[in-house]
Amino acid sequence: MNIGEEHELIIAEPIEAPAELPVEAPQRREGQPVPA
Amino acid sequence: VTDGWVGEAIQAPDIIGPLFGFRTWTVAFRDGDPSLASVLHQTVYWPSASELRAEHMGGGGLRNSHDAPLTGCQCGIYAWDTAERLRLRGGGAWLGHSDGTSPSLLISLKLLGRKPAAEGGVVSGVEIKVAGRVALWGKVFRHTYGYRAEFAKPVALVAPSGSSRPLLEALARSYRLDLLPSIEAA
Repeated sequence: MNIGEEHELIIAEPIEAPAELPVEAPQRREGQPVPA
Repeated sequence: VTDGWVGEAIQAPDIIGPLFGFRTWTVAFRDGDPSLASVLHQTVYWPSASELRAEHMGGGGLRNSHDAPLTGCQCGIYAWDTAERLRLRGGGAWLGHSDGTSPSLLISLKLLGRKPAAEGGVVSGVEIKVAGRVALWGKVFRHTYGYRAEFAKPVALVAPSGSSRPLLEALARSYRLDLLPSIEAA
């Protein structure tokens, strides 16, 4: 399989994106009003 | 002052997501089930549930063991950069015409000659080929007509008219791939 002359190196990401990190609910600071 | 720790260089990606190329495989049968194998190295089976990682298998003028692909070597997982390139340079005339019709002389999955091949890639001395689209990632060398990659996984197979649907459907099921009518659709 002759794909010709080598030109450049490319760094490509994996086919599947890494799993999303769990999103934590924002912490309510003391004294803040509770959302309705 | 350092404490002697030397960190590895982190390579930031140039491409967000994989590159895509086009290639052919030999169909090998393992325990009766069809499997995709490299055309050149017919005992290199492509895993159905994970990616294939390139290994330096000797040759290329570099005898020492090294990570693949390496600049100046021939190691890596090969793919053409376009469907047209596979058709014109990669012996893909058997894929049929771009309008989906079959060529008059060669049809996918017909007997492509009786060339005996290496162990594992042949059924009764007959070589069966299939074409498709692959995702490529990791270290990927860009060549004039294609790529040489560190990791690869098939993403679609081509089933031109006149091809063996049951065999292609079995492969597509096993590898969880789309089955497309032409290489241009891949």
